[in-house]
Amino acid sequence: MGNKSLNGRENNVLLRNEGGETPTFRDHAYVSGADRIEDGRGLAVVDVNSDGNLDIIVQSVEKQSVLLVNHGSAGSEGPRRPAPHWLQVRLRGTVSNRDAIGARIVVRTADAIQTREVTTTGGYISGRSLLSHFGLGPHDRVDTLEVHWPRGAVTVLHAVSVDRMLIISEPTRALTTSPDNPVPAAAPHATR
Amino acid sequence: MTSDTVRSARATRAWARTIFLLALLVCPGCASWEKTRSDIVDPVNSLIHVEYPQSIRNRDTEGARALFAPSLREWASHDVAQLLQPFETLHRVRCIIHDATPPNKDGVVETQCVLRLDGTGPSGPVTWRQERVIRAQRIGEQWRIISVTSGPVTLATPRTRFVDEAAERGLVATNRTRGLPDRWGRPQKYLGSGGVSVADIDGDNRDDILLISGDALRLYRNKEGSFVEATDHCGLRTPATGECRCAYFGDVDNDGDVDLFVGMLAADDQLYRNDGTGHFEIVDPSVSGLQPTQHTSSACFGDFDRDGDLDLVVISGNNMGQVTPDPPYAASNAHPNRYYRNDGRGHFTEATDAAGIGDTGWGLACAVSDYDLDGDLDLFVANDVGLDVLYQNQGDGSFENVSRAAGIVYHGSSMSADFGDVNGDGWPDLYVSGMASNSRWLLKQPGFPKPVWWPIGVLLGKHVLAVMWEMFHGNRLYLNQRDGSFAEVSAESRTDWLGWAWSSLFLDYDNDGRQDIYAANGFWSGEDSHDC
Repeated sequence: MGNKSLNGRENNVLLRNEGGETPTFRDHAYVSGADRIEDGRGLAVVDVNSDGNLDIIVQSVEKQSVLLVNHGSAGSEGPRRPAPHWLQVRLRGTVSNRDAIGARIVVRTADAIQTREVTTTGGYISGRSLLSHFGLGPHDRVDTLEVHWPRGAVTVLHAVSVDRMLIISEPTRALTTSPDNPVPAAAPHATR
Repeated sequence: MTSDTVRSARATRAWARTIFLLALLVCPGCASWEKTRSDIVDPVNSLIHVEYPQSIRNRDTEGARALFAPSLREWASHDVAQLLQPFETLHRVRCIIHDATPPNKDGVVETQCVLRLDGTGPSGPVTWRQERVIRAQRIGEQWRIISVTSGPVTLATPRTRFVDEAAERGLVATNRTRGLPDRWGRPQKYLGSGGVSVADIDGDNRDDILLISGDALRLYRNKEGSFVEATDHCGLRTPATGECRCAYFGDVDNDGDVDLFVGMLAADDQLYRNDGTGHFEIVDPSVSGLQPTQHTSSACFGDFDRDGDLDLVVISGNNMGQVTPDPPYAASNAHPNRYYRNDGRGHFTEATDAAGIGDTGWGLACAVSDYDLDGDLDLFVANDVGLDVLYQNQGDGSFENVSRAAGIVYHGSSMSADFGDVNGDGWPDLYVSGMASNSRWLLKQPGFPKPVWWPIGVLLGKHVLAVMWEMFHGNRLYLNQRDGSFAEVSAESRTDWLGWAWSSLFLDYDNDGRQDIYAANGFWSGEDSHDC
């Protein structure tokens, strides 16, 4: 390659989901301060300061590591727009593997369903947080939260309050359940 | 195949390559290709890579016009004043060409491109982006713009959301690569390590960070949002040789803390046990059961056989500097992926054959998801220079390759993958990152030398170029069709043409309830910005 380049000086992109059955995306990297122009490699998403906004760690070729701290949208969309709500969930497996890797969490609000799966790997040569993060927009309450544990049990919580991290333990008896006959809610506890 | 057959096949391939090189030297298309290169390729390429510096930054319209005006750049000059209207200062102007047809009989070239300006307006950062279809006709030494169709989009925010706070929060490290040797023993720096992994290693419910540089593993503990390096006393041992590639946390012995797998190139993989305080102890391979691989590019934990403990899938590639991918559009001459079954106490037994995931594609990444919602974890393997593979779990940790039935048939160079529900229908969708080459449009130019033996080029040239076109298509978004198959919607969703994307991940960065995407781009930036 000598001193030439190959697809060099490219900016990282932050594609905002604009919604739809087949959603369309727009690159907000520059206006959001996230368009690093480095030869990027690994990435991880993590809420380093537990403020409910997801931060991004970027590793690039022969460069210092970058920690893009997300300061949220306060003030950027007008003073009357309050900060959007969020919920974070950490699972403790008992019958299933202890990290509950493979669990599926479904969060329902008035107008939407969101799903996360607990996995260890995401992107290129990078590991993912076991913490599941849900942005909730204007909703200050989650109608139902379902945890589908890897070994088949289902936990259902109703009217969950938000803007906090919730730790949910798997029911210790291996129960076979269905959404029509949910397991009584496991004892969740919030850390803040 | 017997070893004689293998030898004979290798000899045939070597012979074919020699003929191919000779054919390139004497092929009849070379003269016309050289002409195309000087007439079309070089001017357009210099347009892509031209820097737009001070004149535009100073909002010097005449200077900008002069910069845009010569030859093919004329198309961008007609509305330069309007272009600069939202900006007080400009930081960067880019033109990316998606496609350019060869000249028709009247010398008309049609170009699809994106023009993008990033800068600052009166109230904060501004991005102006326009997709255009431009028809231009060459008259003598000049180009005349016939038509432009476009629809611009302007994005602006009064406040920057993301700020790099690595230094003030104590995450100070430089990512380096030792570089695997190529055929001539030179280190391949550009392949580039640089992984990162996060997990709560000490049970305080805050995610700690492991930075994986080619030459070091560095562990940082999260203390109220700032980081304290804990590498020295955490028990991690970076091997003296080889390249640290990737690392993943998972509680392999179900004792309540996350343990660690480290994948290596040109050295053996490592397994560490956590004592519960964030101190790790390496497990001897005779106990862990990990096999010597030397080619690990990625891995993932998951309870694939649903027995309550974490099994391990290790993805392997090969050394591109020493081994030529064969065939280059569907390479299968890398090392097999491995499947390890956990006995519940963190001892692994290799069971690759039973699992059925030991394909020899040039694996770079993997992602797991229960994409068919049948209660078990399925596996997607992103392969470089070839075809990706979707493995459906049969419920017991044995897998079936269902890529074709699921609609994932794509010649490409995939580098990472992530599952996430982008349209809120409750079913996991899939995003795969790949290469979007600035120079892909060259493939359509007359006389482009087909990289195959010339008789094959004559007979199958169109197909060869079509496969290459597919390989440089960029990223792909697959929407789950809820019937076990996926539909590729990259173009409609505008998620395909982003750059040479390595890692890409879903995240909801603005907490609006929709999964957004962040992607890290760029292969190699040399001193000279022109492509090699």
